[in-house]
Amino acid sequence: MHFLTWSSLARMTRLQFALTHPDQQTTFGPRLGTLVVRSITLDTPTLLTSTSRGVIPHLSRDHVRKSPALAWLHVPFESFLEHTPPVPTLQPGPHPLHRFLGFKPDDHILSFDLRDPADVREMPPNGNSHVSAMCLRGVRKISPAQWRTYTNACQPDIVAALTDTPHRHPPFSQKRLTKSIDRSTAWLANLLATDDTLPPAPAPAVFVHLAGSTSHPARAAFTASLLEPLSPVNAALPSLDAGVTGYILDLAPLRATATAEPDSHSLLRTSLHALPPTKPRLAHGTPGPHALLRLLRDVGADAVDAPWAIAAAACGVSFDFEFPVRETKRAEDGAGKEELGCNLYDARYALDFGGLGGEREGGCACVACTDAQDRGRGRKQIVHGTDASEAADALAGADAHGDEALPGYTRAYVHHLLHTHEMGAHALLALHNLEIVRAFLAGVRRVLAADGVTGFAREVGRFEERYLELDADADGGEGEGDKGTVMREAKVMWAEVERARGKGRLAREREKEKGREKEDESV
Amino acid sequence: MEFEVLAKCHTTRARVSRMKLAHGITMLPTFMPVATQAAIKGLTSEQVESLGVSLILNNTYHLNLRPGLKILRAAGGAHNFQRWNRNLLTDSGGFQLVSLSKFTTITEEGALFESPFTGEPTMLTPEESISIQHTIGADIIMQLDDVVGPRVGEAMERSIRWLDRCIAHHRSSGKEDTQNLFAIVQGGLDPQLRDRCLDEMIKRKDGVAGFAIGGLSGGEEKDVFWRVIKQCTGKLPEDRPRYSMGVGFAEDLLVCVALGVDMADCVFPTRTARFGVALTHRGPLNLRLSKHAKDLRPIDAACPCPTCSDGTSRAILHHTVTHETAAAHALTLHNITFQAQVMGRARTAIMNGTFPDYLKTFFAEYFGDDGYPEWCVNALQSVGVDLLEHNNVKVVPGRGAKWEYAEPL
Repeated sequence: MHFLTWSSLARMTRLQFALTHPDQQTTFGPRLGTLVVRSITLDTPTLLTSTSRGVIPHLSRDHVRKSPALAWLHVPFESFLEHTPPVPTLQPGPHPLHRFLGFKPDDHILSFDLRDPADVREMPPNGNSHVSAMCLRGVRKISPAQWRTYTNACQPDIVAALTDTPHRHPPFSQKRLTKSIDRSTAWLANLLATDDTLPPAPAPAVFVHLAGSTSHPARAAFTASLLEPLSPVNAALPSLDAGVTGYILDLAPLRATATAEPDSHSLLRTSLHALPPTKPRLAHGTPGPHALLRLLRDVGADAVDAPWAIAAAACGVSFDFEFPVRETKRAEDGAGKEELGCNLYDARYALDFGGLGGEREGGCACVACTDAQDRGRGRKQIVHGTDASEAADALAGADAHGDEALPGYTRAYVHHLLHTHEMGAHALLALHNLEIVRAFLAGVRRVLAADGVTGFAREVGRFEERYLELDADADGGEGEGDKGTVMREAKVMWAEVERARGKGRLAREREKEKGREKEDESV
Repeated sequence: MEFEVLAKCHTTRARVSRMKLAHGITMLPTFMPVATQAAIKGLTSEQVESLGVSLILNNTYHLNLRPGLKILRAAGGAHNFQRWNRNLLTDSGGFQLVSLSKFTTITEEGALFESPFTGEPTMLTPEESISIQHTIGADIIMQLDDVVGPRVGEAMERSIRWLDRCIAHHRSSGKEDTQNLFAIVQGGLDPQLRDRCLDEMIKRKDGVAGFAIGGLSGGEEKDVFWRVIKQCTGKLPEDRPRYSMGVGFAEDLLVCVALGVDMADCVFPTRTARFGVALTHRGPLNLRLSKHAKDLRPIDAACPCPTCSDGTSRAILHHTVTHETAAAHALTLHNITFQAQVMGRARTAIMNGTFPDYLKTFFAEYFGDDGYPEWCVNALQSVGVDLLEHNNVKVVPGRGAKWEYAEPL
């Protein structure tokens, strides 16, 4: 490995991050900050949303643009390995990845990783010089050199260095963990280094996955290898960490090894302990808003993904929660904890003409809840043919009818779309749920700014008292402890509609109803 | 309804008209996208409206089952339920009754079928169909017609009698100001039966706002199809819109327009989008084919739809079609815009007196060297447009529809 010149200086200016409250610049705990990429400034903690095959699930590009929640998008690259070279690398012009995927350089920050952070399936083992990645045509081996080439060609804003996550057979032996650390360190060095024999170093800000899996010593060792001074003869940077812009915390692989949340947090703290607290931390794979809050409180993170927002949309759950919780919202005193959302498959919503946003103060700002309101008011509309004046008349005609703003889409309508297997249901729910999470994080920042760390901890407690935890990983069966059942129930009903669809479905549903009645009689 | 013919083609029977309904103006000829279950698949109403679409179709049979009339009534009608503030058309529910239900028997009273809800024998009468459509609240509603295949003559006669009952029921409902009843001309492929049906239904012109041409698009020979359309448009009154049911291929639409049709609907453009096919002025593109995998061009650089104007490449569409619903949305947005453009350009050409030229240009671009369907050549010839004039393109017998297949290896 040659460390002839470093391109770290250019890299450091790509992304600027600052913690804005001096008393929150501790190693662990909730923090407020600002992250700047080009003309985009995001207040942190902020939401990042993962794409699937390069798109935000269920959302067309116009809907992505209209969603303020979608400012930072994460692109797992592996699905593009179906073709060699991967097609996004062929896109010419500035900001090729933005352009290929239809994101706007002025509005969207793109981070880039080889693997889908939510995918913890067992994979063929990685080698010393390759990572196994998954695409539709099977497993592909990607070398650090290829990763540099792809990153160079795609020009994302942020790139994650390849990491060796052990997937098979936990718990992992010390030998396997040592290998994991050595490989991850070497692959990071490879991404950071430039020399004449390698393609030019990538300009994007480099983030590193904090390796070490479930072992405290391994995590501490990985951090040490980041901080270890590099020989001044060979390197222009004092350490690997000096070339790193931010850290990635991976929660899904820890959950996959059945590590309890407090232990996961403890492991993450071990990784972060010696690292500078001023660099941004990106967390993948919190299982729900409660866990997200506790991660912010106990470890500290600046960008978090919420795969459960889209997972909930995909199974018919419409979020309805707020941070900080409002006293007035509670329907009746002494009632048990509330679910985080509604299973809109449930028959109780068939005649519910309220909006998806429930009784939120000021209403919900999502496209599903507001889009109808600005209709016909100078909204851009395609005119076909030269009958422009007639079309304008027509528009005026619509205006006359739509003068009082239409309320947003109702729960009854989405209930109907879900039961008729219409894709629009999931689009509306994804738009809505992402906005709820955006507003939730804005609430987190508001509380932190106004009431500091103690105030935040108090509000986390109130949130935990108000809401049941999201059962995002549930696949049927009974609920447990403080966990809600809304996702579980919705998934069961989703599967029923999925099974029943097609010709004669009402007859099949009728048979099932009959079966249920019989069960009820026999009880 | 206010209906006014603004311009007529000097050569063909094509015309441009302005149709004002309770939810605004729709310029004709137009293509109506189908929102079977109160949604154009995957899109919001705002998105559909932004494409320049002002008239869509809901299916009565489906809405009657789900969400059902109780919910539609409580929602204040289907417009409000789906947040669609423009014009809406519903069919009578009769067609799906026959195609989707078991044990349908037609009696003079109505269609007797097994209720999908209870399994009980249930009767859909012409009055009941109109009542259901009143609750749905569409701007244009269709008569219940008898569509059963083999006994065409009997079905045609019954459709006339049912039209009388629909007119009577509609008149007595007091909904005539906001909802407009269309008759459906039946008579199968038999010119004499069609003629009789036309005569009888035209006699009832005062009770109907428009006429549909039914009993076609059921897989009949295209050469028979256009002759029936031509026979109907030749007789139907000038001052009523004419609606050809189930027509959606671009060449079919343009032939119908040339023969004097004003409205058409079909699930084809939206359905084919979900299977990865983009419609273009140079013929359909099957984006699932690997030939598109590395193609960074948009579907059609000149298309004003959100998908093309954003530069969405064929490559990313190839990568996502049939895997991500977002790709279906992107292609649905495009295909609806394409249909609207084909019809919009037809309106412009008719207004400018250049419709025959438009037909020639369209066919040349769309079919190119693949050859023109013979039936289109014949149909247009019959209204004075010779597609083959100064043109050595070959002529393809049969259906002749254009499709993009995988290259043989």
